[in-house]
Amino acid sequence: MLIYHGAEAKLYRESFLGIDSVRKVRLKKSYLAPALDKGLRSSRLRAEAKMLARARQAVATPHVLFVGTDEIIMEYVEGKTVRELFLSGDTSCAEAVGEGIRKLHNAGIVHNDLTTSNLIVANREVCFIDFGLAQASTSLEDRAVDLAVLKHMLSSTHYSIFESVWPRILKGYGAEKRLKAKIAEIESRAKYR
Amino acid sequence: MICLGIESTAHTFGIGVFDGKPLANKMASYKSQGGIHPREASQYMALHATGVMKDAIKEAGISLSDVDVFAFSQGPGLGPCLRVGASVAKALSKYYEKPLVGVNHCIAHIEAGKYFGAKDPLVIYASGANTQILGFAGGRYRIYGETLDIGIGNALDSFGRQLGLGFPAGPAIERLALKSDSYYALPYSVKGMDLSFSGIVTAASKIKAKREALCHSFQETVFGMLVEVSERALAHAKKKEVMLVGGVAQNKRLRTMLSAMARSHGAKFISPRNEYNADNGLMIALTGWKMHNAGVRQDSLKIRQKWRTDEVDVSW
Repeated sequence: MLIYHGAEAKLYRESFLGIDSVRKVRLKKSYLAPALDKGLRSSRLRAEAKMLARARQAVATPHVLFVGTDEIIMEYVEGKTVRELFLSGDTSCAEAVGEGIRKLHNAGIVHNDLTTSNLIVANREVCFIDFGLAQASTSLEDRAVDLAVLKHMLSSTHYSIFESVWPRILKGYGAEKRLKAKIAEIESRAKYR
Repeated sequence: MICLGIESTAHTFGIGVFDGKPLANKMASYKSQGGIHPREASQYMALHATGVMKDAIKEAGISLSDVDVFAFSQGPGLGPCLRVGASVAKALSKYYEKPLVGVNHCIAHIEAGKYFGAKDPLVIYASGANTQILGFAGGRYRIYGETLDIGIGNALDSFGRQLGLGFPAGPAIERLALKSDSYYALPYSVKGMDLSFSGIVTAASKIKAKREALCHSFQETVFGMLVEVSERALAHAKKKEVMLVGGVAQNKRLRTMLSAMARSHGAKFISPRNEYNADNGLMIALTGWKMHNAGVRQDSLKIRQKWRTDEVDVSW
């Protein structure tokens, strides 16, 4: 059953070897040069499979059950996305979100696509999904970009609660001064800051 | 009510006249071998201001004393250039004792697009200095994604300069790109809904290949990134229209890619004619007209070189 049709992929909920699972099929993009499209899909699929497994040692992520050429099958995670929770006014998970990102970073992974749709709160734990843009890195710059992207997304989409939520995410992360300064530096590089 | 709008943020000095419909849109654009030298560009503008004004007034069939409100682009942009437009607008407003409205240049691009058919679009604003993906929510244009370093047009210009294509380089790159379909891999830098272009320019300078193939690869990469983040933003913001504005919107390849993306999500693709998409005075006039009609009051009419799109309360 098709449960989501996004920009990157279609998600089907189905049973795989009796396990409640999600099949994520990466979509061909007709507008891209074919060589570019093919390269992106395969590199992201590989990154996702690898990083999902690696991240699992630090934070909650769905189990990967099968990796094909254009698709990944993973365990279905029951819960609400942080986006849904934030939009309903429930921000109680903010610190836990920050804490989860810290654990991920400490495990040497930057996600590169941290949005509130890619975080699911399941069993009071923050589960990370969608690792297609993730990479192995421990650099301050990459970690700060990871957080700056999330901050940007929060301020545009959850603008009414942004001011109260962002400091709590940073607190949960335990962000040190030089990281905060780096985020400010990255923002200042963007046009007209 | 007649509004006369003045544009002077970067390379173009433009004057538009609007009274509920476009009456005139005239401009003069600074060109160079390298890029924009702010002082030279502003001197160019000062030199051409009177001529453009005369042309615009003539085309509109009015005289300056018929104008009910003057508008100018208050920012963002290059200081020396902004000052030319601001001085002209302030002088006219004082002399004719008519009100003056300061317009945000980026918002004006969006308003021009809306005048030509969009209602509540996802906006892709692609110009020399700016690359932003925006949508209207809660009284402001929210920036869903943007460049983390240079604008997409600046990236095209820097790349074009390496090939000796002059400024602006976009049209020459587009022509050359059509003559090749060999694709050389370049860094593809997308982070969430944000993008980065600076590394691609450097990487492209290190590839030894025919100019045509380089242009093709460069366009496919930077436009691919832009359309991909637009697609993410579209899925995210759930808008039904995709509107492309800004100078780079003149590129046919980018338009084709974005419209294919929009179609695949059942969204309508909209992009104004070139005349209203490149920097122009009419977009300032029509935005000023709307703002004045809605009774917008402004605290300051000083130029704002770094005025961000999401700082503007859109109450009109």
